[in-house]
Amino acid sequence: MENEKQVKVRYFAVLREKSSQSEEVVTTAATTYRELFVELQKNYNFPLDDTQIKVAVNDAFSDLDQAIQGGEEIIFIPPVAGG
Amino acid sequence: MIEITDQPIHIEDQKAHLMNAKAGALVEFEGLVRNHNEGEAVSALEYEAYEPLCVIEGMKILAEAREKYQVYDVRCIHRTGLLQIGDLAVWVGATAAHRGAAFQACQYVIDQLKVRLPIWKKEHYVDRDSQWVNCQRCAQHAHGHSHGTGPFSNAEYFKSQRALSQFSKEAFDQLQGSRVLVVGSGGLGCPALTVLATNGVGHIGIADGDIVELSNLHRQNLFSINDIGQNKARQASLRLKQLNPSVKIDANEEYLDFENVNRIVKNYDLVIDCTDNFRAKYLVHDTCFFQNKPLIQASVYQWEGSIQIFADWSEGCVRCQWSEMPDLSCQGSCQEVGVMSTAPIMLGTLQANEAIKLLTNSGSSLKSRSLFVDLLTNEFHKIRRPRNPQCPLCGDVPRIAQMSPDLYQQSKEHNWEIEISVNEVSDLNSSFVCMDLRAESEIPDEYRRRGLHSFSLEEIDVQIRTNKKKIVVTCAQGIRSRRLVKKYRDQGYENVFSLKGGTNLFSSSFHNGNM
Repeated sequence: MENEKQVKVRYFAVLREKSSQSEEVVTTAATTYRELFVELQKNYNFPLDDTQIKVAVNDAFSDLDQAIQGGEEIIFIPPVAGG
Repeated sequence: MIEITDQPIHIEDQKAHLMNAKAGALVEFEGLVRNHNEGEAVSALEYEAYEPLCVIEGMKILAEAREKYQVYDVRCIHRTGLLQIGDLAVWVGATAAHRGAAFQACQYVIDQLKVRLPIWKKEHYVDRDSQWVNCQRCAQHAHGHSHGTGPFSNAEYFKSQRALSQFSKEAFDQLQGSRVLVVGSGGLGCPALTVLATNGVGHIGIADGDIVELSNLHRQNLFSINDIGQNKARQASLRLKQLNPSVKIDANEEYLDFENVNRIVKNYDLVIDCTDNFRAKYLVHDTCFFQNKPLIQASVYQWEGSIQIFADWSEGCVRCQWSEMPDLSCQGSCQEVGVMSTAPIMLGTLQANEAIKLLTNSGSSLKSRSLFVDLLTNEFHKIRRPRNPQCPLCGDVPRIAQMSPDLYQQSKEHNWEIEISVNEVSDLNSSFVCMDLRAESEIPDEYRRRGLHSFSLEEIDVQIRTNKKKIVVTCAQGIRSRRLVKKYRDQGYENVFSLKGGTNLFSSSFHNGNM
């Protein structure tokens, strides 16, 4: 589809565990990082929702409501406290 | 002259032997029995000496002092037997024409006595059985101990580090003068402390109220089987003193909390957060922010970890990204989610490495970036942390002007009851959601008319995880619902309750809340 974009997504901690992978290339019609996360949350049954995670785009923390450009590397970061 | 005596020392008698009309300086050293050693309360000390060798070796030391320094005379006397707190254990005196030589000779004699005389010290502790400590050169004597050590030399200890071309004498001296607090002496804390203590940080504080457990040993390598059941801060400090006797260590055998955090943090130049929960992390973070102390924070999860440094607080803080303390349900302790020991050992080592660099201004630090490490894939990601002008702590218009206890409350601490009675539900007015586990056909008509409906486990799961209102789960007798609620409570969800006694105990005053 015309409005679909391809991005690389990396997963950390519980997101990696639930998706059983460290990274993948995703083709999505989502327009923002938040929409993309909600889509992935449904696919992989992530135990965290979009209010509980942060996003980094091309190695900088970003805003979940920013528009997906296509081609970027996206990391969804859950809070981690283990020590 | 050296004397070994089991009688109280009379200083005036000793001084009388030293007096000399030519002497322009008399320097005396008095070694006293103190009430603590390596963090433990001491009630008394017992000295035992192998006297013949003490005298021979002692005479040699005095002769060396006379030869090295321009003194007229130098002498000493050492006690044996049981001494109480404050008693004089050893006295050294030196006379010289000028004070410099007298000071130097006095110091030389006491330093050498400490490491060369066959004198053993038995400490009587307030809290546990007594033990022999500080046995120097015991192995040479028929004493029954074999744990003697040679004289400790800082130059020898740090020989390899000093050979490092990127690490100057000034850098080393800076480390020796630094005071670093490590909060939490567990998986991250053990390696961090080891690196700090063995690389020359002069003064280390440890804060931890936890005790050593068997399941800690696979990653917390300052502890052994013998430490199980003991306080971590104390056992870590004892082990570190063995690794480097010259380091000064304060063992705070307590968790940091709102009451003690400011008092403890203010004693140090830099703080390393090695805790394992958000409450402690936010408490330490905000304290360092308000005290303007550099903070090095890390967390681990299974094979992964992240580390971030806050050295210049004008460049942003944790709350720039995570404005509120994350929910407890996000936490997952090492025991629950599992951890590969390499993750905390690596991240804790990185924390100490960053601390050494910051304190000595070496290399380039991780400032303004978080480093994410995945040891399963060998991926290292440095992620830029921009300052957020809307940050509640360091933003342009901060909401958090000072620390307050409610900022560090975690819902788990409320310890709410799992069950809620019908009357308590009525008191909630409409600020709750009632969900029945049973199939629609199992729910009696009168309850359905009042708004009680059947929900699948999936629907209940979504509500518990996302709805901000209290969730009341019901069934006929309140047994299945209690089991389900317990499962969510164990995961940290505190907003969910089971209706006590189930719908069989419904009162007519009960109305369902607003869905």
